[in-house]
Amino acid sequence: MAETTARRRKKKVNWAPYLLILPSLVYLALFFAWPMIRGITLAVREEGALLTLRSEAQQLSLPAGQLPRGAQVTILDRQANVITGDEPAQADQITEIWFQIRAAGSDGQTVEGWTPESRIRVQEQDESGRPTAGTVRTILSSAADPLTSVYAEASEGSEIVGRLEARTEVEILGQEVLETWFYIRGQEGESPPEGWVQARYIRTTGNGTQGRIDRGNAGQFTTRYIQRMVNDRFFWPALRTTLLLIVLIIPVQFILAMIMALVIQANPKGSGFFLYVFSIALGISDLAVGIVFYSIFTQLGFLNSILQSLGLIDAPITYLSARTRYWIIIAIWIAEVWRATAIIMVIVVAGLQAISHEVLEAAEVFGATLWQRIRFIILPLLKPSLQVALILRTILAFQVFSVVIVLGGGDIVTVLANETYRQYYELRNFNVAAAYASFIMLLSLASAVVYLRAVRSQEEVSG
Amino acid sequence: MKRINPVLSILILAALLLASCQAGGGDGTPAVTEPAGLPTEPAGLPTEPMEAAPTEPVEEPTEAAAPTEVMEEPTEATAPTEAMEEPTEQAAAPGAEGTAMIPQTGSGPAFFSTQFTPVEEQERFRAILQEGGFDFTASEEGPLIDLVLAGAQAGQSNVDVIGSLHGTFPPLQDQLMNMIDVYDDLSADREFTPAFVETGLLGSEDTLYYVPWMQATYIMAAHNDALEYLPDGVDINAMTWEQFAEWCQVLMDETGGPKCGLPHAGLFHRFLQGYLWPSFTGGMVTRFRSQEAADMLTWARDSLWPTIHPQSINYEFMQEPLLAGEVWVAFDHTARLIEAFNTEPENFVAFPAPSGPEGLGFMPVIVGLAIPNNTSDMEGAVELIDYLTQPETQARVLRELAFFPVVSGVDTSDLPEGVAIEAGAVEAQSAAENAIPALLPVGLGERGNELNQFFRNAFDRVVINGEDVNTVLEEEGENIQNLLNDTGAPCWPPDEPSDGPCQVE
Repeated sequence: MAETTARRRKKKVNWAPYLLILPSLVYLALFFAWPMIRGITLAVREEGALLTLRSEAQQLSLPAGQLPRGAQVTILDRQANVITGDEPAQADQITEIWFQIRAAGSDGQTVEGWTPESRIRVQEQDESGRPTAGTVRTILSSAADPLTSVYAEASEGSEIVGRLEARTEVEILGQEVLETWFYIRGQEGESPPEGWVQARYIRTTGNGTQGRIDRGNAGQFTTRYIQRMVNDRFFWPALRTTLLLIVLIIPVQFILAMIMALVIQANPKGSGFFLYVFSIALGISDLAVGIVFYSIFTQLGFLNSILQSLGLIDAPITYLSARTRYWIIIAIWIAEVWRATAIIMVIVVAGLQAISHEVLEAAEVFGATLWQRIRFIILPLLKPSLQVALILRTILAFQVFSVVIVLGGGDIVTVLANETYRQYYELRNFNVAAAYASFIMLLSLASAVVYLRAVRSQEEVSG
Repeated sequence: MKRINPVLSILILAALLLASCQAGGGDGTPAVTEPAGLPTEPAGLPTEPMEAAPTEPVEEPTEAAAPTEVMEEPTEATAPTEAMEEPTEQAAAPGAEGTAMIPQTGSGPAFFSTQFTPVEEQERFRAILQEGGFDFTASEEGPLIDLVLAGAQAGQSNVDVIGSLHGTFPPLQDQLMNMIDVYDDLSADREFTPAFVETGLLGSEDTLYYVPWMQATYIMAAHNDALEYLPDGVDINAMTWEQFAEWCQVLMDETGGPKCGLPHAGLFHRFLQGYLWPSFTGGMVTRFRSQEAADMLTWARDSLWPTIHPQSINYEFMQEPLLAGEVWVAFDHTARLIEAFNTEPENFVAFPAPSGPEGLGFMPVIVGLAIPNNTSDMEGAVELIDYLTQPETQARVLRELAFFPVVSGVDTSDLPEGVAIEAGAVEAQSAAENAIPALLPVGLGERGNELNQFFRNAFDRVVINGEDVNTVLEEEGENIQNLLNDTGAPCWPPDEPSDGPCQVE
């Protein structure tokens, strides 16, 4: 009896941890996994890269081949499908509306025929909303024919039965909603694919027998955007500058942070005050830091004013220029060290709290110098905190952005995050921007893996 | 104890859910004040590098790099203060879009404008609008385009009127209403500049994508002290680019440092497309890699750029270095020089851009008003456009904001000193005998900004990086040709019209 009860007690699963994890799993999936997958897909997938040709001029007919976007095609035939009112409009269906009109032509004769809806401004409608009367719209382009053409049938390929001047009053007799399909054949290869496609995918050139596929309707995985990213003029400079900044900034920050943390931990008088002063930089946005250091390093800024008033220089030196790029890097280095050391210091302070005083006192009793205490006791026990701080700081360093654009202008000295911004914001190239963002993420992941392996504490290594 | 655990875990679950709902909605508000506060600094700091522009874009890359930020979640336990910094940046990232577009209060059409975003200009423009019972939301171009595209996908547009530069509209061509009827009604009682209506067609024959709203251009400004160093025989209102470089050389030699400035971090591509290339080669794209262009770049590298203040790579608004005295002569957009003329009208003069061997290339800036499809307030939108294009409103905008009218019949007497100084130069520039108006690119669609990058690349690689002129012009010319072939864009002024994609000779 006692055994079965014990077994039943062992089998009872504790659901509490899983229930607690569930919301965070949902949160991670919604706000982390899904956007990340979408972002990476943007970088490797080209929507609309291929155009599917159909065997008949209908959306639901069998596919008859594919052509890539940008391909030159020959237009062999066209067909206008009439969309009747009771058919539900498909989401991506773009239709043309043609009006059947009657009006007095420019030569006085009555003209009756068809003209596109975009040429008529509807002025009157009947009770059911059908347009009954309107005026001809003006043609504003100075290069185009100022008269509107009226066709025999609802198609621009049919003959022109009359021309109307702008602002002519017309009677609207009826309308037709059309979707035009082209029968096209590719021009490359021995037996190029041919089939029907909707007219809106083709841009006609010349007299309407030639065309070019403007965009497709099927996506394809491609390395085009990654190639564009790598071949971009700014890619290698940005990567080099980012890595250079990381190598320059992080070791210095670590040493400084260690010193600051040890100072605080030694608990001198006013150590609380020091903690607050060191942490001031935590509360300032990186753009504000950039602006502050710009005002220091600019030609008529604080640094030059101080040096001039001390008599060390005669005329203001220009630091932030294209000729003295190293000065821009130095200014960025100083600004970043000033701004971000506190992040590491705070983590190290937290880690230092965990080291028991007894161990340190015992070491002092045994005659260890300060340096020996730091090297053999504090640093090894700090390894987990250092690992965390390193990973965090490196990931943030890959994203350095505002300070760089304020001090460097974005063209002379550029970093990976600035390139992401330029591709998205200025060049409106979402795919290449996504490629840059994915690249930054890859670098951050790689660096995290490197740190996790390199900075292993003793317990982890020995298992 | 065992019975308490499930209850406890459900309670903790509920608390977590509530906390995450709060965090999503609550964090937005504290972040509101931070980016909005930054643009007001310019008055204080002597050399403010940028104003409104970077405060919003700063937040964008935190969105782009969001996947890396979220990786800190697992380490939150050991880095509580680190996590403190990140959520405010993350919260500021979605919040920044809300702060960049300071939402308009009151009813009326939802008017989003990329013009008048600096705070002082916003207030003045808002005062003008409120007299007509309207309001507006200042916005950056990128977020505004995204907003309109999102509205198109959703089938309902939150934006009723878009007021923006010409270059904003090509990516939105499919989403904009044909303004031809609105234009027809408006032109019954006012006359628009025909050339600007033409550019509103965006290359089409009969679809008017925007109604012209305001115009501006780029001119030169000089401090009176710089006029003493003008070489003999040079007329400031009719000089050549070579004479300008000589003047800058004299300034540099005699005053101990370069005193001429160019907005390299600002609208520099307009300087290249609209002023340098047309003045020296007579065209923009067709003559991009001609011998004249190569000579021009060599001249820029050897005679012009060494006399330009090296911090030009950081200058976005030239009025700041002018007022700070870092620069004595500058080229920039009229709206980015106006503060200098308004603050110290007795110290500055404005003059038209210099001319080159082929003439005086200049580029007018056109701002337009458009209505997206599927708006909810069509009547209000048309009323707003009517109000903004009335001669009285255009005169007020000219007087207070230094953007020039696009309708005739605007009363230009009794302008404030700063605007009057600029108006003189604008007039002299467009009415010059050898003026070559260079228009904004059309037909490139949403890839228009890539053209800007190629011009900048050509200049930067030759003049700043010192690469070989012919190689650079070949490569960048190739890039331009590929862009033109891809988009099928025909040539536009100052180039001769072409049949089919424009060809770079």
